Amino acid sequence: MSDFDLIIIGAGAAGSHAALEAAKAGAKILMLDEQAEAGGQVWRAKSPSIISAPKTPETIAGDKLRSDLKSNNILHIANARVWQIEKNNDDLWNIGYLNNGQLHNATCKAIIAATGAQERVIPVVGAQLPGVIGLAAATALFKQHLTIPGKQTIVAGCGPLLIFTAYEILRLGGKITAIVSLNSKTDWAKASINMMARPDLLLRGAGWLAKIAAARTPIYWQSTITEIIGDTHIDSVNISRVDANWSSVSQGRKTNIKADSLCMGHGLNPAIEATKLADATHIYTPELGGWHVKTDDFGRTDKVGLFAAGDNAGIYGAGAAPYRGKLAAIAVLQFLKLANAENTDRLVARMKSAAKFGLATTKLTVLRAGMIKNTQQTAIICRCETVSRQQLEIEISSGALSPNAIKSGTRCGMGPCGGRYCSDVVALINQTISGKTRQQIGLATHRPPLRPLPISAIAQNFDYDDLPIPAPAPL
Amino acid sequence: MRFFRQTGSKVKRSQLVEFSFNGTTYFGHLGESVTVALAANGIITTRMAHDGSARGAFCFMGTCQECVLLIGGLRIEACQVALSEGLIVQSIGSLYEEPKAKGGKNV
Repeated sequence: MSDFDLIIIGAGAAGSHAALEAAKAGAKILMLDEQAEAGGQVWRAKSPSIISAPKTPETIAGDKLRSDLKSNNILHIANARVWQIEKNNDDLWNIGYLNNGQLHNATCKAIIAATGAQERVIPVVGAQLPGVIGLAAATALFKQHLTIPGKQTIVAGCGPLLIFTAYEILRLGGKITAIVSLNSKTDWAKASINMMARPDLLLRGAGWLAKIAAARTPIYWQSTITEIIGDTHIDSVNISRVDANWSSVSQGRKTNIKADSLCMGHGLNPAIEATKLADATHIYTPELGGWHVKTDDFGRTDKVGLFAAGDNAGIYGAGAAPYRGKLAAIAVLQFLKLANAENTDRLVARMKSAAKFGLATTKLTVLRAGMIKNTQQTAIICRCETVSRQQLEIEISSGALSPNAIKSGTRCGMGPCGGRYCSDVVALINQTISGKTRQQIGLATHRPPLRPLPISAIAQNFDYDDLPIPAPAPL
Repeated sequence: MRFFRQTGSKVKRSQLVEFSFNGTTYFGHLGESVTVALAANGIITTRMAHDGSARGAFCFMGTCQECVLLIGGLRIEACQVALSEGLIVQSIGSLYEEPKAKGGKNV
């Protein structure tokens, strides 16, 4: 007997909609999520410190989702961190999670991993300085706290988050010193043809650009940050034009811009730790954000009872995520024999149509070959353990070619974040030396715990007198 | 250098409450994350790396681990903790250590 029919990991756009769909058929569901409220990153809830504030399309959709989850009596445990996924002796999935400082276990017949994505930042010298935050990080700050990271902010990187972040800073009363976009105007013109699939969103984007233009914000197209200058915090940045491969072409000429904060991001990587730990097959597709779990249209992985929905199965974007959640729930219900096969052609077609917009925006963030050339030898690649590009290159040149070997040789990726912010960059550096493909390089082994756990939770309460002491060996 | 909360008549926030960081008293809004409360008070450095360089909150969603502090005696990501009255917050180690020799490897 399992505790639940289905455990959903992640309460974002995909996970929440999977829960709502599976609840219709009466499946016994547990939804675990790290954040205080459901909604994921796109529909992130306001913190309790905001009593009232103007509504945005995201807050309206997020509030509706949260109220739907409540009215459907879906068991959602917030502030829950999944740290272990394994098969038990009864061939059921056993999920270990941390909640309120205590470890818990729950078993289930099926899992939907809806773990979303995480931000990719290709570092340059100074990227570790306080005052430098991710673009997705900035959107979390805006959505949850209506707070901006400074009064003179530079926004840099690629893709639509760049424009959204700049717009939000202006809306919340901040000042943008410069927008530094790797994408050219032509890149955007090409992308907007495919973005026509969602004219409403395209129109919103145009509105953001109009606000940015009205604020007379300088935009540096086809440019990148080459260095972040400061001692204990960011003081200014150097920027440079890039070529079509995104490699800096400044040739010593420097444009220096003062700033007290920088929001920088270079696209999203699927968050694959959970599905890797469950040993599903993963594939590398640059147009889908890199390594992602391999699924069919219904989120079925090659592991029995393991399903995946949303950006962790390839960055198709927020528009497609609810449909992907629903489709995965339908597949789970069939697997659990709680529902008969139904005609899902229309739902699949809707998902694919919604994905067009997401794929067009993801394409703007696909890293080009020259980008890694902008990362200096002294740039810190692993924030946790302070490992520079130079240290990594020495290790790789000495023959450490696999991600595991590089990790054990340098500690890069061994820190508390679990390598989530450096592993993609380490592989890019590895490629420049080994000449291997990303498929050949592969991924480091994912091991539990997936998230840092306090020792107090593992040891729990015990009395020294209660510890069994074996009889001493005979002399 | 600090973070700024959106102001104006359209946004209503909770009351200000007192909390302490490394022994000094500060004010922040009840229920906002400890990271935001600190950064709005000008504290954006949350830890010193082993080479003596300053680090601050980076992801604001509980994954990067840069804002891990001692809050009520537990090591926890400050961005995931809601501010409450009288909260005692401390950095893990001093924030003003002398830089160690460069090239030193973490053990």
